Amino acid sequence: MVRGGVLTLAIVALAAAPAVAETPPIEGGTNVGGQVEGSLELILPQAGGFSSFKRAGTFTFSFNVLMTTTEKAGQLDIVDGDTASGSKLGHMASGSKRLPDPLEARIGKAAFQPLDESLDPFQASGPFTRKSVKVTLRQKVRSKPSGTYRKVLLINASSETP
Amino acid sequence: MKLGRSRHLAGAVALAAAGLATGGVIAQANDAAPRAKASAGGVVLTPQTVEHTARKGSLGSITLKNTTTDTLKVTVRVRPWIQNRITGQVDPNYNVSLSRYVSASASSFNLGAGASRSVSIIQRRTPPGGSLYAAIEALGKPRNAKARNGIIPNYRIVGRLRANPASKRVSLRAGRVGFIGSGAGRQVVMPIRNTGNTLDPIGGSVSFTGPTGKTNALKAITPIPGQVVNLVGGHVAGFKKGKYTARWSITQGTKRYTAVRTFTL
Repeated sequence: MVRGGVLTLAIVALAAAPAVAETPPIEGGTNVGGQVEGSLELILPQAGGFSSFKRAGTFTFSFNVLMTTTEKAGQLDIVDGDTASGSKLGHMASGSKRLPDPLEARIGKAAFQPLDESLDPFQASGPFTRKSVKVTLRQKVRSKPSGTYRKVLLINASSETP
Repeated sequence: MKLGRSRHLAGAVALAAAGLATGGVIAQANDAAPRAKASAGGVVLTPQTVEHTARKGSLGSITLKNTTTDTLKVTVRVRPWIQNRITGQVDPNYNVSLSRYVSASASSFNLGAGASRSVSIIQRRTPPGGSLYAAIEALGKPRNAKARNGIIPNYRIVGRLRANPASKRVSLRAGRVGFIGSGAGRQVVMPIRNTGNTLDPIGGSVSFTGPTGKTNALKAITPIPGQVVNLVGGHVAGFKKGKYTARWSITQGTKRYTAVRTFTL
């Protein structure tokens, strides 16, 4: 019984050997490729404009935002980062004081929109690398205000699709 | 000397160009221009999409990299999407957190200049319907922001989470025909609610029979489970007045549906 089993194993091993030898070379059947993970990048300047106003008038301030996406579309928008509601929403503030007119913003060549309302987002078809988008802020000042003002703005970079 | 001058000039031009290209600032105030510094870095989120079959435990991870020269206070939250019924575009609902179902392994931490950190997205409970499609919000605030005045821009990068269902259920509910726009831009629409648990796009065609006959292809939409999005049937500005029957042939994944609706112009 044992001899018969060994003989059978030997026959099977001999039959399997040519199959291994016939395997095609690696070069012929290997697909070379890779998968790149998508990424989203946002670069902002350390803007500091509009901290004080020396006289009444309309002031503008611009900066460039850079965005990278590996997806088919990218979206950029701006919201008030200090508060989500209330009288200070969209207004430059100095402690408890606030400027009567809201800060206005535009992204790219869109029209100015007040930041106390939601801004239409800027959309661009991707993918793109460090696409420069100009953000312009405008503040109307009725009479010379005293003190230093501040406003935190959240610059949002996202995709349009779920 | 000439060579030295031209080199200096070239250097200055190059620096100015680099400043503009890396988030440069242009101030045009009526009075003295506000001072501003250009930053050479930002925040990078990788990957933009975390996708996994819904299950308790880790669904994947994101990596946040701070390429600025400041330390950032980073907050990571998972938010539900709000979908625009007309355009189908999504925005995170920043007032709502999905921490009951999914949360980040580190929701708040300081990220030093040049540092990167990996954050796991962890499912805590099985979401209703067996799937969850949500936004991953990464908020980056410069640590010294409170001491600064003027405009202080902060980073908010939104990635996406797709916790796909273990068992797919493709289903939709079609509503009544309506209209959006006016004049030459008036279009016939049919609201569709995704009653399934997948993100399969919905498309197809619509045939109008009546005083004017026409067949239009439907632009594919991707409603989030539970949300309603309008399926746009096309312009009706050139249509004659009268009673119409619209036959909507709808596809969602591998499923096909037919919805017949009547309307009068």
